[in-house]
Amino acid sequence: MHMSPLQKYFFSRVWWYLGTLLVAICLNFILPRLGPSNPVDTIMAHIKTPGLDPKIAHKMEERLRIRFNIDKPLHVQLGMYVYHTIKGFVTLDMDEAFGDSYMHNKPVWAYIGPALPWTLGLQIPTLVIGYILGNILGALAAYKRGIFDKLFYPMSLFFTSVPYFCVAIFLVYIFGISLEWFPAMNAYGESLSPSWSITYVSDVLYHYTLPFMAMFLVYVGGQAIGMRSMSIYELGTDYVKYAKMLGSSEGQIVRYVFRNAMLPQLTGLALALGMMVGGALLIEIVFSYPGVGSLFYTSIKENDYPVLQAGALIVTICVLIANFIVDILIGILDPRIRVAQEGENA
Amino acid sequence: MARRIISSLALAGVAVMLGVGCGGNKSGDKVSEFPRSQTLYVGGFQWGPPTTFNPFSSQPAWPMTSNVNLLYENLFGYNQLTGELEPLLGKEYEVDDSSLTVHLFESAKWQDGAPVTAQDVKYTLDFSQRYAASPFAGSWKFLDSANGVIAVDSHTVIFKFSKKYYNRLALKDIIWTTPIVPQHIFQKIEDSIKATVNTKGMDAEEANGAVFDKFCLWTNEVNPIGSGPYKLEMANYQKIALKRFDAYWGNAALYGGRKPAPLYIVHTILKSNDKYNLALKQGDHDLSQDFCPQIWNSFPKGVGTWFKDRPYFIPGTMVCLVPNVTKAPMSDVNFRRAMACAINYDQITNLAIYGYAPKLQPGLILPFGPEKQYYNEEDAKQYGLSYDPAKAREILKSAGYTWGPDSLLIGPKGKKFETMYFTCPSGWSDWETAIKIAVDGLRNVGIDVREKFVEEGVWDDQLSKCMFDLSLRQPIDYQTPALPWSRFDCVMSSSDYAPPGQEMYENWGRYKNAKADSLLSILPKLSDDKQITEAYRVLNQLFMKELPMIPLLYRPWLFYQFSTRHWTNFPTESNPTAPPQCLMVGAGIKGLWEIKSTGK
Repeated sequence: MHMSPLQKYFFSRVWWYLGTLLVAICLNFILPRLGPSNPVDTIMAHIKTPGLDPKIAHKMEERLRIRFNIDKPLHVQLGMYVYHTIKGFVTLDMDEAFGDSYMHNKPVWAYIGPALPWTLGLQIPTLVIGYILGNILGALAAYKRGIFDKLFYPMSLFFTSVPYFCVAIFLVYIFGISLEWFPAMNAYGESLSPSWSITYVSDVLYHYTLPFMAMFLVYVGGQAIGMRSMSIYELGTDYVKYAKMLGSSEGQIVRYVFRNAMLPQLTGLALALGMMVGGALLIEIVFSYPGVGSLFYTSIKENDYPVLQAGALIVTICVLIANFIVDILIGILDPRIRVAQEGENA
Repeated sequence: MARRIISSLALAGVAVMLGVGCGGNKSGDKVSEFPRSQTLYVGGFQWGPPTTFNPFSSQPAWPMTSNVNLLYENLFGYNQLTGELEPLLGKEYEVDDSSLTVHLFESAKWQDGAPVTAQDVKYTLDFSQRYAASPFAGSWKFLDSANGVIAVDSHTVIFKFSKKYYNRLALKDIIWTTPIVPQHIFQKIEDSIKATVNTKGMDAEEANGAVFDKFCLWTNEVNPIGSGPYKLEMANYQKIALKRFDAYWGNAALYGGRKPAPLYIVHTILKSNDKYNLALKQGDHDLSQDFCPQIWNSFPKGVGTWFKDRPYFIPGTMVCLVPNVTKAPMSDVNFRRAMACAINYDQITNLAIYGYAPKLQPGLILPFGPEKQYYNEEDAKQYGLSYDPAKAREILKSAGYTWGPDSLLIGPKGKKFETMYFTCPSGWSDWETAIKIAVDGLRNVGIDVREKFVEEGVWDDQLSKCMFDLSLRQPIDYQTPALPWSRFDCVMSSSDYAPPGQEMYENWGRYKNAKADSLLSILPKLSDDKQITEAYRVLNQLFMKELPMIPLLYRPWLFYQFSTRHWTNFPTESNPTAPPQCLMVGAGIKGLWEIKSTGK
C-alpha cells in the first residue's frame, strides 16, 4: 500500500503516542505505590481508636486489602489495572476504566467527571488565547521596538520567570484579599448552586478572573519572549532584506516573518504543555477551584490510588492529545518534514 | 480574523465549563440559591468530598459525625462548661450499681412522623454489638453482653453494666456520642443487604464482617431520616447543605416553641485551613472549626472567639510526647523525667498554637473546667516538673549518665545511644512546631533526637505497633464526662496489653504499672465524691512521678470562631447561651436558637 508522506508521518506518530501512553499507564500505577504508606493504613488510622478490639481491626484490614486487591502481588495488580483501563476505554465505560475510589466507595468517574470541565474550562481558553495573543505581542515587540518593547520585554520576562502559583498567590493577595475586587477562591459564590441562571453564569465568570489571569500572564509572557527573539532573528535574515529591496509592503514582510517564526514556537508549545498543565493544577489548589487538580491534591493526601491514577491518566491523555495535534500541525505546516518523509520513502 | 478565532474559542471553553458544570451536579441539588440572611455558612468539619451519610460507616460526612446533633441526635448533649449531660432525645437519666436508665421524651419524633422509641435506641446499640467492626462497637466492652440494652417500655431504656468492666463513666460517654437511628428504616436496609451477601462457608463472625462491609457502602444520601432539627438538602463535592425541619419535635419540648434561626446551614468544602480562615475573615463563612494563626488579626473584620483575649479558646485536650518505654533509654524513668525538664513548654504554647491555651501545669488533669475539682495544686508543686535544663542535666548525672566529647549523652553503662526520632504526621503544622521546639530542648541537654515527619498512615501504624522512639498524640481528643479517667486509662492502662509488634490503640508506648491498673479499674466504680477525688490524686501523683507520657501543651477541643457580619449573638464568655461547641456538637447545638441574623 502506498502512503502519502503525510499519512506515513501521521501513522508513525500514532504508534509513538500509543507507546508513550502505555508507559504512562504503567508509571501511573507504580508511582503512587512507591510511597511508604498505603490506603488501608490511611483508612485504618481513623478507625483504630481506643476501645476497638485489635483482632477485629485486623480482620477489617484484611478485608480492605482483599477489596482493594492490594493483597495480590504487584505485577498481578498492574495486569488487572492495565486490563481494566484499556477495556474501559475501548468499551467507553469510564467506571470500568477508572474503578472505584477507595476512600469514597464510589466510581472515580463520579468525581472526575464533574471536575474535568472546570479544569478544561480553565486551561483551554488560557492556552489558546495566551498562545495567540503572546505570539502577536511578541512579533509586534520585535517589529516595533522602541518604548513598547522596552516596557513589554521586562514585564514578560518577569511573569514568565515566576512560577504559576506564585503569580496566583500574588493576585489573590492583592486583588482577592487586600482590595477585595475579585473572589479569592472557589468557582462560584457559596450561596449558589449550578444552574443556567444569569446570576450563576456571571458569578462563574467573576470567579474565573483571577485564576485565568494567573495562568494567562505567565503564559503570554513566555510565548511573547520566544516569539520576540524568533522574530528578531527572522527580521535579520536574507529573505527579509531581499523582500525589502524588492519593495514589499511592511505588512507583507511581517506576515513572512510571522510564519517563519511560528514553527519553532509550535514545537515549543508541544514541549511546554506538560509543564503548563502541571502548573495549572497547582493554580486550582491555590484558588480552591473545583477541578481535577484539587481532587488530585486530596487523593494524594488520602493515598486514594484509583483517583490518583485516574487524575494522572487524564492529564497524560490531554497532554498527549495536545502534543499530537501540535505534531500533526507541524507536519502539515513544515514542508521540511514532508520532504524528509519522502526522502525515506525513496 | 484572529480576534474572531480567539473570542469564539474562549467562549467555547467557558461554555464547556458552564455546560458540564451545570449538568454535572448531582440530582440531589434542589436549591439554586441560599438567601444569605437566612443561611449559616460553616466550615472545618468536612475536608474532602462527602463519602457517605451512613452514620455507621467509619468516616461519615458531616453532619453524620457522631456527636453532631443536626440530623441524627444523641440521647444527651455534653456541655464542656458544666460537665453535664443535657437533654436531647433523652429527658433524664439515673445511674445505680448495675445499670443506667434513660427516659426518652415522649414527644420525640423522626422526621417522617414516626415516634422515637426505646426500641430505636436498643436497635442502634444492638447493631454495634452484632457488627464488631462498627464504630460504636467499643461501647460493648462496658455493656452486659447477654442483655446490655433493654427497652422497658416505649420510652424507657436500661443500659446494663458489664460485670467485668463495671464503668459508670464510660457509659456516660456512650449516651452522648452514639447517634440514635430509626429502626424502621435501618432494619430494612440491613435485611436487604444481608440477603445479597453470600456468606456460605463463613463462620458467624466472618459473615457479619462481610455484611457490615457491604452495609458501609450504603451511602444514605437520599433523604436520610433523622430526629434532628435539620434535613439534608443537597450534597456535592463542593458543599453540603441542610434545611431547617420546621416540625422538629424539640422546638416545643426543648425550646419553648421557638425554631432554630438559620433556614439553611451550608458547609462549603475547602482544601485547607487558610481557605477556611480567609472565608471566615471575608464573611463568606459565619462559623469555622479549624486552626487559624493569629486570630486576633481578624477581629477588626468582625471575627470573634469565646474569650475576647488570650487564650481565646477553651482548652480541652493535651498533646503528649509518647516515649516508647520498651526501649532504652526511654524505659528509664530518670531519663523520662530529664526529658520533661528539657522542654520549653511556654515556647511551644506561644509558637505552635499562638498562645491559644493557658500555661501548662504538671499532671494529667486539666486545671480548669469540669476536671478542675480533681486537680491538686500542692501535688503539682511537689511532684511536677517544669522547664529547667539545669535540672534535667542534674537528674541525668545523678542517674549515672555522662556526656561524650561531642556533648551527646552516654548511658550509665557507658553505651552511646543511637539517634532517636520524634515523629508526627507531616503537614500538621502546630504539631510539627511543637516537636521542633521539643527537639531543640532535648538536644540542648545532650539527647540525640531528631524530628521526623511522616504520612499519617505510617505514623498511626508505628504508634499502634509500638515501632517508634518518640511520637506525638492526644490521648482522648475530645471533652467528655468520663474525663479525666479516660485520659488516664488511655495513657497508663495495660489491661489490653499487647507486646510491641502487635497492635494496641491506647498506651502506645506500652507502659505497665500494676498500681495504675488497679486504680484505673476501681475509679469508674466509685460513686463517692471524696473517694473519687482521692483516687485521682493518687493516680496523678503516680503519673507525675513515672511520666509514661509527657504532656507538651493544652489545646482547644474545638476551634470555635465566628464572623458577625451576617449573624450575631453568638455564644461567648460574656453571652454564655451555649457552650463553645460550634452550634452543633453536643449541647452546643442550643446556640442555633440564640443567634440572630443581621439581615445582610
